[in-house]
Amino acid sequence: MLEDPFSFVEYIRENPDDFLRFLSQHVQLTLLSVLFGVVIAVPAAILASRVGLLARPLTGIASVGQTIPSLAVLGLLIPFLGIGFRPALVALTIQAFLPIFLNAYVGIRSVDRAVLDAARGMGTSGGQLLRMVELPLASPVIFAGIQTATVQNIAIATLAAYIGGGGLGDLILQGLSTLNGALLFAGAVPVAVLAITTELALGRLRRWIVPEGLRPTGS
Amino acid sequence: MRGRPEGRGALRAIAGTLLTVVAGLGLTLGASPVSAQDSEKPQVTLGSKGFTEHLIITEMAAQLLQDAGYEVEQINLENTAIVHQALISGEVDAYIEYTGTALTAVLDEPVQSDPQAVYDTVKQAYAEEFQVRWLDPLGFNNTWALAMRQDQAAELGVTKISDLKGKAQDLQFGATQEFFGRPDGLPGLLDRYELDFEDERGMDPGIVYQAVAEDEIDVTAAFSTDGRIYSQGLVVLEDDLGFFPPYFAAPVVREDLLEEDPRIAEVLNQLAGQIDDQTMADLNLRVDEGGQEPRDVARAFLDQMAQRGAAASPTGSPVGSPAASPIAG
Repeated sequence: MLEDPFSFVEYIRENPDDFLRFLSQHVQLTLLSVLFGVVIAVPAAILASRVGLLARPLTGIASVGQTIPSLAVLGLLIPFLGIGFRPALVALTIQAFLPIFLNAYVGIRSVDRAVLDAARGMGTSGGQLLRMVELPLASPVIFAGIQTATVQNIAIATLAAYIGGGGLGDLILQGLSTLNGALLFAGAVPVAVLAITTELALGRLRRWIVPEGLRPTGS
Repeated sequence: MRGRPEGRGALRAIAGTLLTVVAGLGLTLGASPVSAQDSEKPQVTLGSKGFTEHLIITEMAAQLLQDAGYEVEQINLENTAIVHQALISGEVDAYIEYTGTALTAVLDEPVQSDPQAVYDTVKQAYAEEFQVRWLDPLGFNNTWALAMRQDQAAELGVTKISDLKGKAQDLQFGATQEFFGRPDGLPGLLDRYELDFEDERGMDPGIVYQAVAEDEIDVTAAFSTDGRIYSQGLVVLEDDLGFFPPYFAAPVVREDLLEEDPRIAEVLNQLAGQIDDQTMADLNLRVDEGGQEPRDVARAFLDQMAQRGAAASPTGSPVGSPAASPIAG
């Protein structure tokens, strides 16, 4: 059953359509959930940094939310959203929220007060302060949060297979339930490769996005 | 370089949660209560596959052994592949297997439809390859079956699987991931019946019935002895081309244990031919919808069996009669 560790390559070669379908579902789940996560979490973090009253409840909800296992989130959503791609996407978006939100919040809050005072002294408005000072200075930390969320969701997206959401988890669960090593690895290896290459690629991208003045000097 | 401080904190939180879950699992996976054991009798470790029916029949086997004075440990191993490995490696002494599952999923043999032939094949192969003995079948045939909502089946005029031809492209199919991965599962079925569904979704066994009852999927693969097929208003489609192999349940026991104590085979064979399809479906429903514990359902059944046995001793016919297998025609 597990005699040939590379039998999964054969499976992929013999079933390219199935494999590509699972891979594309997996990538869609990850990308869309991180995208929605950014769209929701970054404004929430800005709001929390502006309205002191909201900071505690929002960080509290985010932290507690993250301690609920992803599988439980999927289960809890079934009564409301049913099964399939949609509830899986919602669950993954919830999972993406915490690292992005907390990093963005901490990033904005840890901008040096002296810098803020200097900017205010130069007459910047609230909006300008955010756009031209706080967000650029916080960008390395915000981006690190997005990176964490993306890599994490590549792994968590395998759980969509429990609720008919598709993705590479389908192959993993099929392989596990039949002790078929080829199927199992045809799902697991691409997930690992996807996670590692994404981590590396986003690391590269971060160097481009971070303002020049904040880039580490030397290698 | 400024790292990802909060990300690490989150990771730690996740790790903490996982540890708690794992610790919890460890506790629940522990041994079941042990009855008074005779010191000269070997301890028997029974594996189970973690779904209702298997939990019930494993409980029956465990309680029969305990009643006969054996110390029994039960280990929940989730699925066929893992419990089989545990049996071969000796971590489990015995478990209850289905003939068709052994034939196709374990032995990787081609599908056969004659129940006796399948039983004979797996019995011989297990003896030769694994030094494991198949005892007598319990009586019921838990084959796979395609099921759909009664009203939709009536509306489309579908009573057998081949009726789906020409209609499947407008229907959503959904079932457990195992059904997608098995040689006697979906790919083979689609080939044999030349079907092509609009969509195919794999999911957790726990939500399949809900998904079909709530119109999320139209056709599913179910176990024919699952009482929920009937309680959820589903109808089973006849396997008119005889695709699904027979799945009669019977204990499989390591020969080394039987050599040590041959009486174990007699104890377990008390169940031979005792449970027909309808009885098994009823027992399953008591757990799945009646909220009873597998242990209690098993106890009640064994008590009943003992009463019946007192009235008339059972005839232990090996593989069930055609009447006991409504699906595998």
